[in-house]
Amino acid sequence: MFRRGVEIKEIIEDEDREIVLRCQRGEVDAFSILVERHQKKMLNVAYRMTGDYEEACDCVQEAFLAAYRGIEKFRKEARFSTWLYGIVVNQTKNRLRQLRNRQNHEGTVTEHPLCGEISRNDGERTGTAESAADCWERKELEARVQACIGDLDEDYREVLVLKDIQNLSYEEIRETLHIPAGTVKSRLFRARLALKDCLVRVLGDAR
Amino acid sequence: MSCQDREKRLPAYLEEDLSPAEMDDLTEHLASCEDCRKVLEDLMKTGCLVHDLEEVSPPPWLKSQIMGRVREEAAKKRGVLRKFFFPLYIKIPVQAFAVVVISVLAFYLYRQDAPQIRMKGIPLPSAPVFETTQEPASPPSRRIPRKQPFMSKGAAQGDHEMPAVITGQSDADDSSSSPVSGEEVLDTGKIAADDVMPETAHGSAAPVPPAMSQVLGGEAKGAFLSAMKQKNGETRASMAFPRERNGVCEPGEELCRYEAKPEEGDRSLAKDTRMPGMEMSLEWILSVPDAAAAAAELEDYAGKIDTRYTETAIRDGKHVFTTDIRPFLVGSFREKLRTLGQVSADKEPEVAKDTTWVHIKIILVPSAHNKP
Repeated sequence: MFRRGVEIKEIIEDEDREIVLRCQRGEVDAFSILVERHQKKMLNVAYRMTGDYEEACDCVQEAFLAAYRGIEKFRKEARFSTWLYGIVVNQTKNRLRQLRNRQNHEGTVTEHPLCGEISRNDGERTGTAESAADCWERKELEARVQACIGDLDEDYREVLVLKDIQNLSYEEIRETLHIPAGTVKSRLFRARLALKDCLVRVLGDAR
Repeated sequence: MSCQDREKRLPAYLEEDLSPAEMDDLTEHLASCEDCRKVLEDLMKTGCLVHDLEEVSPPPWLKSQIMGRVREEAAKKRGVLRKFFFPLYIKIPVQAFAVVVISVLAFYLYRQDAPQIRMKGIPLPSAPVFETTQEPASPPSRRIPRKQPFMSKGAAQGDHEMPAVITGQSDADDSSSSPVSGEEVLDTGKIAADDVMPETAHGSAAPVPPAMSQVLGGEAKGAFLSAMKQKNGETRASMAFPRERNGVCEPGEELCRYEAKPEEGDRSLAKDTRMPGMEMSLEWILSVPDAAAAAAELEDYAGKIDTRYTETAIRDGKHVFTTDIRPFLVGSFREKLRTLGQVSADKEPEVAKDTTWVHIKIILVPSAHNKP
């Protein structure tokens, strides 16, 4: 399993590295490939961190721009996606800090795309016969889960998002956040317990 | 271990990230504790809820917006470099400066290569010889002084090809045929002394021939020696024999010298850039009835032969004709002088092989004036 994981990792690295090299040589258009390839994952991280779709889009824009500015300094030590995750997480945390400073941000505002938009945008869901009522019910549940995620401490939240939503390995999270693997695990377990407590409180018997 | 402590370990238990002993302990405890099983169940459901969260899709404009800003950023990066070269108000001065630098460089390269160009035989525009050697202060004259010393540098510099001095006294025929002698040429000698005497003092290292030192006496000898001393220690030592005796220029005596000096070349050229060459100088006294007419005739004659430089000047009331001619023309030139009047040189001077130009100075002396 581990060996297979390493092989997969190397293949992914090679794909991104070639394009990264083209970007480093000054091919601006090559960067659009990286945007296309990673924008959805990065948006989901930002969205789960902020709970606000528009803010998440802004964070992703800024993160990609920061990545382009710093792409000449990017080296082989990390995967591009891991490096990019780190930029997005930092960008998102900065944005949350700004929002807190402005005191305009009342907790995590959960804004979801409409059910129709989801059906159009998300190919995985397209074709599933989901009624509007089911959609709204699911949206409501997700909003509560997202609200609980937003209530988590930022350090816990980022680990939970990367591990349980983005399915990154402990090693990737360690590289992304630059924290020891043991810290990753301890934060993750505490995040899960805290989220469980929140969901029990919020959902109660409705779960 | 209490249930609360065990609950904290349940996430790790789900990940199987505990030691086997802890895993066994929790497994046993869960089998008997309903609350802990409930917590474990809630944890698993939470995991499912989070895992099942629907992915949001980026808006269609996100990529284009990102790339738009990225392209702006790229243009800024390029702009920093282009700023130095692209605007015309910077580019044109840079180009102009480059043209000036290249021109100056080319000029200096040409200056350095000029001697090599001459050696290859490529003709360059001829110009009067630029004389870099020092000359004693001469009295003011209407004539533009040709700053060519009349002394031989080469003698002191070990130029063995040079004959020393051709004197009338050394040749019995010369002295016998000399029309002017002794007191008769007193005035002439004074003229010659004015013009030549300072120049004769160049040869500080030159030995005075015994015959000369015998005839030198009194004031003239003292003046000569003092002049010699005056010039003693100069870097440019010359060998020269004075052709005046007691202030009188002897007929039949001619001053002859060779100079290892640059060949014909540009006046502006520095001495070390000129081609080495041999030049010879002759000075004759021509006694003629009408100096002005003779000078005019000499100019006419010089215009017909191969000369480099011709000049007639009046110096201290005497006509002085100066020209540079080719060595092979020296004989015919002397013959020409003979047709005009009495020449101080009765014998044709020897001209060394390598001589390129012979500088001739003719002092035109009215013959009637000289005669008592």
